[in-house]
Amino acid sequence: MISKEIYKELEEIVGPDNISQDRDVCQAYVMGGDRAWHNTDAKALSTIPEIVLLPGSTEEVQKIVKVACKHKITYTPSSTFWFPTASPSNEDALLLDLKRMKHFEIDAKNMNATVGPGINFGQLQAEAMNNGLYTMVPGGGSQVGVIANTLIWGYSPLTYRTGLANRRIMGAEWILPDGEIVQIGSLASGEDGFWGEGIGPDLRGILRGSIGWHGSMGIVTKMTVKLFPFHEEKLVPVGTTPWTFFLFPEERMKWYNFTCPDKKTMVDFMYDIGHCEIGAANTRVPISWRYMARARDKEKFHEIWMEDREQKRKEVAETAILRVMLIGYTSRKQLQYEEKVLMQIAENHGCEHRRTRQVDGSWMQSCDAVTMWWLTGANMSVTGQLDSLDCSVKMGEKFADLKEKYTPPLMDDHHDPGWFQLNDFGHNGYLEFMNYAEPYETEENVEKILDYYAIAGPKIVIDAGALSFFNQAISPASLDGPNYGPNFHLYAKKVKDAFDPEGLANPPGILDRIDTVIDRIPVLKAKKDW
Amino acid sequence: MSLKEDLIKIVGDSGVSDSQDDIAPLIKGQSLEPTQMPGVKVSVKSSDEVGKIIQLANDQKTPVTLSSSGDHSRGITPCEDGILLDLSNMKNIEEPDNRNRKVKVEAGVTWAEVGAVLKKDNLMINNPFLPRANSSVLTSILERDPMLNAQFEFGERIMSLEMFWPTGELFRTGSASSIKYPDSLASGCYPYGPGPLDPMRLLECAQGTMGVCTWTNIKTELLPEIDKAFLIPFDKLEDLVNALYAIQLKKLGKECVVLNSQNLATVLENPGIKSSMPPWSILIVLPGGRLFPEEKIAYEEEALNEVRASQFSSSKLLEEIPGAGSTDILPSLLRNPWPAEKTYWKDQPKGACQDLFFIAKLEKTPAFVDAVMKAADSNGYNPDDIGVYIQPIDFASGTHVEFNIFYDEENADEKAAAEKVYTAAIEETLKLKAHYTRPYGKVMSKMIYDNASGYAGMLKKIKSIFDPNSVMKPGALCF
Repeated sequence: MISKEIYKELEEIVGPDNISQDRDVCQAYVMGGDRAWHNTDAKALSTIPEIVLLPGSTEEVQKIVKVACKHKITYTPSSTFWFPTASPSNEDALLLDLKRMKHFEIDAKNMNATVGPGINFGQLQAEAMNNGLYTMVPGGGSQVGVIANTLIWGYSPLTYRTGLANRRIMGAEWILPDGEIVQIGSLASGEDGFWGEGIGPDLRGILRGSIGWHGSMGIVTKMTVKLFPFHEEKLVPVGTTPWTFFLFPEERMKWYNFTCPDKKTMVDFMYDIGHCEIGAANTRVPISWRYMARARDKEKFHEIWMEDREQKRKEVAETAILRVMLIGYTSRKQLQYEEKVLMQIAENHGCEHRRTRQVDGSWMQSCDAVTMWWLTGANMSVTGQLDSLDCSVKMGEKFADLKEKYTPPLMDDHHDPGWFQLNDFGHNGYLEFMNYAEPYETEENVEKILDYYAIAGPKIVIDAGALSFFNQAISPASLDGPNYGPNFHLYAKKVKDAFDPEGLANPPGILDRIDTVIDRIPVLKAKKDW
Repeated sequence: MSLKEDLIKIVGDSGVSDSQDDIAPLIKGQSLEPTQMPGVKVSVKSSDEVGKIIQLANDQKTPVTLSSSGDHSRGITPCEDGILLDLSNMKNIEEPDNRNRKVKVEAGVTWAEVGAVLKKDNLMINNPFLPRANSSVLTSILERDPMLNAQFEFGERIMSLEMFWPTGELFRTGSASSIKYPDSLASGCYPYGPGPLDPMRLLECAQGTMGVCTWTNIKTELLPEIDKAFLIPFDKLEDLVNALYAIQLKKLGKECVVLNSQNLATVLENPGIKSSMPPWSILIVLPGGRLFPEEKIAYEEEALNEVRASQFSSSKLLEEIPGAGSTDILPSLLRNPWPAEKTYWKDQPKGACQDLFFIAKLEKTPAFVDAVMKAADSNGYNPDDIGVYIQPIDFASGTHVEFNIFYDEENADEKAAAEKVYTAAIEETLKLKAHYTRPYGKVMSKMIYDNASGYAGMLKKIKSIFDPNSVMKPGALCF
């Protein structure tokens, strides 16, 4: 229980309108339990914060962190409240809701924007496009916070051209777990945040790796992110919420769908697109997505997806659909050139060009993300595989086999090998293996799902020698750590301990989170054989 | 047992020397900074040897300085009486993985060596501006020498790497981090992590202070079969800046470089044509694609002409370099290291050269050039003799700004003037908030880190975590 004196101290920092200890208000910041079942750790760890604060500035955040350190109180930062680590996992915690911090500046000439934690991708993308620029918008949706997502994940089909998130982080203002501020990138030289590299060794190497710290290494209160050349022709919004889309200016950007003879041919096709240095996005279309698009609601989806399962399994096994976006960044003639190259590659591989609507509701602004993520009421991707496209494809097959042992309670997706795409202009690939489950399952089924996520899934990734970008968010560091690096977790722990010896920044911290879950759930603990 | 004897146990007799004659060629560099003599040089051929030597250095609290090639153009300042760890014999180049567009090279592989291998498959690694043929590819990229290709998509050339922490433990990054690698599904195509740290970023521009990198998987790219290159002349840098922003916003060309007349005449090896050169030039190469290459060049050339008409109509797209023939020579010139058999271009004007470079916004480059030229003028150095090289990075969202201060090493007055210009230029550019991401030498690093105490403070803390015995090049940078 946090004392009245400490409450008063905090109230003086943010003002009485921006602090609350009201149980109903605090309850709204719980992710997990009866409110929503999102993934393993949310279920096992999520607790109600003791006090919710809404700071409005870097100075206020810094003061709050210093008060927390002085009184040894834990704190959890949250901006758009998307992931379970955005809610506290222990008693007597402060919740810093950063949504009021809406600093936004765009430097169109130098292709960057400086944002506060309250700015989301919808806002960023809109302003970028108003200035002839763009960026990627994550699959989590355009309501996702720019800083949080860039620090932690940051993937979409558009990362084919806009690069992996680590490269989009430029200068940043970072409040360390002890409340000290460090300016990284060009901010360290007194400039604005236009550049990310450090003076000598690059401190972005502490800020994030393949994943981020999920608030357990302090709070980034301002970040400059890179933007990219787009084109000057407008994307016109059409439709009525929730069925809204951008209408493409077809002479500057287009979708192309191809039916390929088989999966291997499709993958070769994808590689060739990268080798020819064309395209803006290059992704497999999981078959279930087509049914989602047709269904429009969850009930209808289940009706059409679950009918004639043998036929569906055959359809999934035999259908290989590739979706490619081309953009004429330079001119209309660039699009014409790239279309000619694309069609030549398609012809070389015997792939058939299919008609598709020249609209987008998924990636330029991700307005349909909720439809995608909450199909059954709960979803968690068990892996995000990062390496070559070939590795992604093989891992998808392994996961499809594994998932069958856990279906039900997982939703049957008829042995779908996952969603894979090319990143980084074809230099690497990405697999996201999605899983759907109902939130209100029996205890036995919930435990089975937890086993799949936290133990069985991570084990097959390790066994294959692949790398999940979800590691530590869904797999235990005690299992992963010795198998990667090796011992990456021990090096990270040294850094964490040096900057947060009391462990106050969002405990248990991303390095101990899933191990804590396993220790708390007997059925998982019983399976701990490493 | 002496340090030398311990080292001989690891690499054998032939790999260890404390003879100054053996060591001197490895530490001879081009820098105004005085150098120091290490106690012993040890040449390694394998990762295993590297790990053992770093562990030995920790046991004996002996400092280690790294050397990966014979090129130390920014100077190398080994720690006195320490170990000079020579990686230049680590020469393995694995068969290029053309499907995933990467090649694995060890630390001692040079630009000339890897270029020769990749050309067989019409591939290349995006290279920096005219590197020495004997300079290490791995070191060049880790030290963030900017590539000439200004397109963002081709950046972040390291896809994964193997390293030894300063305490001597082996580590691999990204998707090469599985302990099963290379017998794993992942082939090392993803660079970051694993987990919440990114060791690659800590090694970048660390000058060997944060560990030893022994190999990397590096991105390869298409070496175009045909290209079209232009020289775009400008009288004023301000006009060039506006043109360059417009060109990069349209994603035109791959190699794109800005030189002043001094540097253009120098790299063309014809100082006599300097006076007929435009004061400032953009060199840009429009590459053909893998398929329908002529058509790719055609749409880019048409767009470049449109940008010229609307944004810099007073300049022309020249296909002839004034006094030096066709621009057809540019793609080959820009995609290769400086020929080993020729005097290095930076040595041609006066025999030696001190570089000064930093990152800045393109729009501020005229102010930086003005400040450095004034610093030269006021310190008895003819500003017209200073070479300037400006490299747009990531569509010119930032630029590498480089000044080349040529001097005669044997001429004490000239050398003293160059030293004064160098120091004054750092001071003046810091006032304009130059972002020195690569502080080489004790003079520069002190000035830079004094100006960024918060960043330096955190770096010191990180260094003490990973290098508790302070063996990796102590005294360099801010620690």
